[in-house]
Amino acid sequence: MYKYVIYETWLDWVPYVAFGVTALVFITFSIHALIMRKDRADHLSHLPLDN
Amino acid sequence: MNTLAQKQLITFDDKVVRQFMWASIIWGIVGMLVGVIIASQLNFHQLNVTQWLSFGRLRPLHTNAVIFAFVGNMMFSGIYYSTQRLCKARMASDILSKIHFWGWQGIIVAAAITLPLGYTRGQEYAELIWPINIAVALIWVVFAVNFFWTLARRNEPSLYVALWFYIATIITVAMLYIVNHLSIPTSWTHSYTLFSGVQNALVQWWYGHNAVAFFLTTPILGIMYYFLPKAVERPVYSYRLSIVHFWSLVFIYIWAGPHHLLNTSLPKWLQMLGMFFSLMLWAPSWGGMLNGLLTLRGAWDKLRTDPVVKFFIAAVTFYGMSTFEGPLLSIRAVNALSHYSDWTIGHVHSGALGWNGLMAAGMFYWLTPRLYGTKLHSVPMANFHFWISIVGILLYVAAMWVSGIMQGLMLNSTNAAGTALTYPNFIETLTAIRPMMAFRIIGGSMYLVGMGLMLWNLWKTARSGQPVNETREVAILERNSVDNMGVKDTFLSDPVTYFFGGLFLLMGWIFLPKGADITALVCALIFGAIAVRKFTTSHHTWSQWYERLLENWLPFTILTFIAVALGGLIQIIPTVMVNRAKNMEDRIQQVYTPLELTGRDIYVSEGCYNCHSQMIRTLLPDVLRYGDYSRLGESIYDHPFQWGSKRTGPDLAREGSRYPHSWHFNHMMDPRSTSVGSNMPAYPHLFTTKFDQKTLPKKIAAMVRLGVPYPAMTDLEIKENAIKQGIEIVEKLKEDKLTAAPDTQIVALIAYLQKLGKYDTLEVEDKLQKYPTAPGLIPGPVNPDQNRPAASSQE
Repeated sequence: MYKYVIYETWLDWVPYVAFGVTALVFITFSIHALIMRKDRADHLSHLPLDN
Repeated sequence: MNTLAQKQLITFDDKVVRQFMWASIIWGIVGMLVGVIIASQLNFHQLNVTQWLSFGRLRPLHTNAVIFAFVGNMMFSGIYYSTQRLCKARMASDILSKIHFWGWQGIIVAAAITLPLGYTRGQEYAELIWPINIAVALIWVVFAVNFFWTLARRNEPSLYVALWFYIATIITVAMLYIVNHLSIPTSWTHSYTLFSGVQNALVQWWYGHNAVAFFLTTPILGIMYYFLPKAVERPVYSYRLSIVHFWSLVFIYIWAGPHHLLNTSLPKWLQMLGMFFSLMLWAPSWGGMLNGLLTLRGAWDKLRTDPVVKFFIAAVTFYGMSTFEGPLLSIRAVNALSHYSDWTIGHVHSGALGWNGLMAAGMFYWLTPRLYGTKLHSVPMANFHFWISIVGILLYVAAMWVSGIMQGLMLNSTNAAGTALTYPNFIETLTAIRPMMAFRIIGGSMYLVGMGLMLWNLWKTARSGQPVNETREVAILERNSVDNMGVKDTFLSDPVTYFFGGLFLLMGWIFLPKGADITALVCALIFGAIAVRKFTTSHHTWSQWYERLLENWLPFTILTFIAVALGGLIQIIPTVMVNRAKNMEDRIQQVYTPLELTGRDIYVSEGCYNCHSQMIRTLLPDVLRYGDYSRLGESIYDHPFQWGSKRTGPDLAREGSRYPHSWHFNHMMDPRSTSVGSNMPAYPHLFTTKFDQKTLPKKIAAMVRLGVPYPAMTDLEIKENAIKQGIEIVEKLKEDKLTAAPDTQIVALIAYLQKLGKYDTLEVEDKLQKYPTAPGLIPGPVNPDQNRPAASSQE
C-alpha cells in the first residue's frame, strides 16, 4: 500500500544491495583486525600515552 | 621501516586550543540559556516578548548554538590539541588556525544576529542563510587544509584511531553541508532550497541525522580515543575493536537518515533502509562504548576520585544509552508513537547533554591545568558540577520520556472500533504534558548552573597559572618513509580488488536478467573461492596493506570518503529520479500564487515549522485527526519541505479552507481566542508589517528555475496578482468586521494557510495517452497497489 510514484522494481533491491555491501565492509575489516599483529596493535594503542 | 633522521624541539600551538576551549564554554552557556528560555516559553507564552525573541526564532538559535558553537568549538579544541600530539608536529599553519578560530566565531555571531531577525532557510540545523553557508564551507576548508597539511608533515608514521575519526568528520561534514545547502538565492538574506518535497526531506535528514553522526559523534569518539586513555593512563581496551567499530560506524551511519521520515509518504524502500541500518548501528555504536568503558579496566578506583574520569565515563555511558535508544526509536512501530513527540526531544538531549556535554566538561577539566601549567582550582566544585549535571539530565530526559509517551499514546488513542479519537482536541494532549514541560525547565536550569560553575572553576584555574605552550623533542621522520602509497598500491591491491570485484559480481546477480544473473552468481562464488585461497596463502600481504594504509593519510581519506558517499548516493539518486510530477500516480500539488508564496516565506521565517508539521502520516489516528494522509505529489513544489519533526501544535497539511479567514486572523492575533489553552505565541507584528513586494519577482523566477510550472508573468503582473489576492482576503475579513491592509504579512500568511492541502488530480485521459498499453496505471479507488504489476510491466 501507499505507493504513489510510478513503481520501479529495481528500487526493491536497493536495501538488499545496501545490506550486502555493509556485510562485505564489516567482514573485510573484521578480517583485517583479526589478522593484525599483536605487537603492532599494542604499539598503535599506546600512541596517546607516548609522551 | 621508517628511518629516524634527526631530533628536533617542537612547540605546539596551544593558544588556539585555549581559544576554542573558552569559546566553547561561553557559547555553551549562551546556547543552554536560550534553551532554558525557550523551554519556559513553551509553558508561559507571555515570555514571547517580542518577535525577535519568540519561540519559533529562538529555537533554531538554541540548536545551532549548542551544536555548532558549543560542541563545534569543543571539538576543534580537542582536535587541535590531540592532532599535534598524535602527529608529533605543530599545526601546519598558525595563520590558518587563526582564520579558523576567528572565522568560526564570526559565523556564530552572524547566526546569533540573523536567526532572531527571522532570516532562515527553514531546515533544522541548516537554518543559516546562504552567505553564512558559504562562510561555513570556506572556514571548514581552512580547517581541513590545516589538518591534512599537519598530517602530511607529521613525525609519527601511523595514524592513531582518533585521527581516523577526525578524517571521517572533516570529509563527511563537508559533503553533507554542501549538498544540503544547495540553494538558489533571491536576495542577500533569502534563498530557495534546490531540492523540494520528498527529495528535500530525504536530503535534509541525510544531513540532519549525519550532523548528529559526524559532528556530534565521530569527532567526540576521536576525542574519547585520545583523552580517555590519557586520563586513566591506560591504552585503549582493544585496538582491533576500534578498527571494526570505526569502519562499520562510518559506513552504516550515513544510511540511517530516513528513520526520521518513517510512516510518512517517503517511499517504503527508503523507510525500510533507514530502519534496518539504524538497527544495525547498535553494533558499532556499542563497540565504541565498550571500548571506552573497558579502557578503564583495572582503574575503576579513579572513578571515585577523579572528576575527569567521572565525566568521561558518564559521557560514554550516555553515549551507550542514546545509541541504544536511537535504533529503538527507528523501529517503525515505536516511531509511530515517538515521532512528533517529546520522546525524540528527550533522546537528542540525552545525547547532547550527556554524551557531548559531559565529554566536553571532562576534557576541559583535564586540559585547563595543563594549558595553564597549574592545578585545578577546586575539585569539589568539579564534583558538584558533575552531580548537578547528572541529576539535571536525568530529570530532563525522564520528563521528556513521560511527556512524549503520554502525548503519543493520547494522540494515537481511538475507541475500540478504531472509528473515533479518544482525545480529538489536540490541546487536551498538550495540557496533559504541561507539568512535564516544567520539569524540563528545572532539569535544563540545573545543567546550566553546572556549566556556570565550570566556567568559574576553570577561570580561577587559569588565573592561578600562566598560558603554557608545550615543547617536546621529537624524532623527525624521513618524508619518503610514509605517505608513499600510490593509486596503484591503494586500489589495485588484493583486498580492494577482491572487495569491489565481488561486489560487482553480486550486483550482476541481483540486477542482470534471467540466465545472466545465474552466471554472475556462479562467477561471484568462483571469485570468492579464489579470494579465500589467495587470502590463506598470502594473508600477510593483506595485513600489510592495511598497515600501510594507516601510514598513508590520503588513501585512507579517499577510502573513508567512498565509504560515506556510497550510502548517500544509493538513497538520493533514485529519489531525485522519481520525484517528478510526471512520476506521480495521483495527486499533484497546486502551485502557490505570488501572495501564497510570500505567506509561505513568512511562515518559514517565523519558524512555524518548529511546532507544526505538514505531513499526515499513513496511520489511522493521524488520518482520523487531520484528514486524508499526505501523498508524495502534494509537496512536490515545496522549497523547503515542511514535513516537520515535532508537533507542539496540530498538523496543517489539510488546513486550507478548514476555517474562515477571520479564524486565522484572530488565531495569529491572540491564539487563546480561538484555541483555549494554546501555548502558541501571538504574532501582532504581522498585522502592521508589510510583506516584501520588491523581491517577489525574483522569488518567482527562482521557483521557475527550480521547475515549478508558473505561467509567464511580468514583474508588474506578479505584484498586481499578489495585491489583488490580498484585496480579496481583506474583503472577506471585512464581512467579519475585521480590518487589515492587503499588503500586510498577516494577509499573505492567511493566503498561504488557506492554500495548504490543495492539489490537482491527473486526468485519466492524460495517463492513458501517456501509457496507452498500461491502463492499470490509473489509480483505483480502493487499492492503489493494484497498479503495481501493470506499472512494473511498463518498465
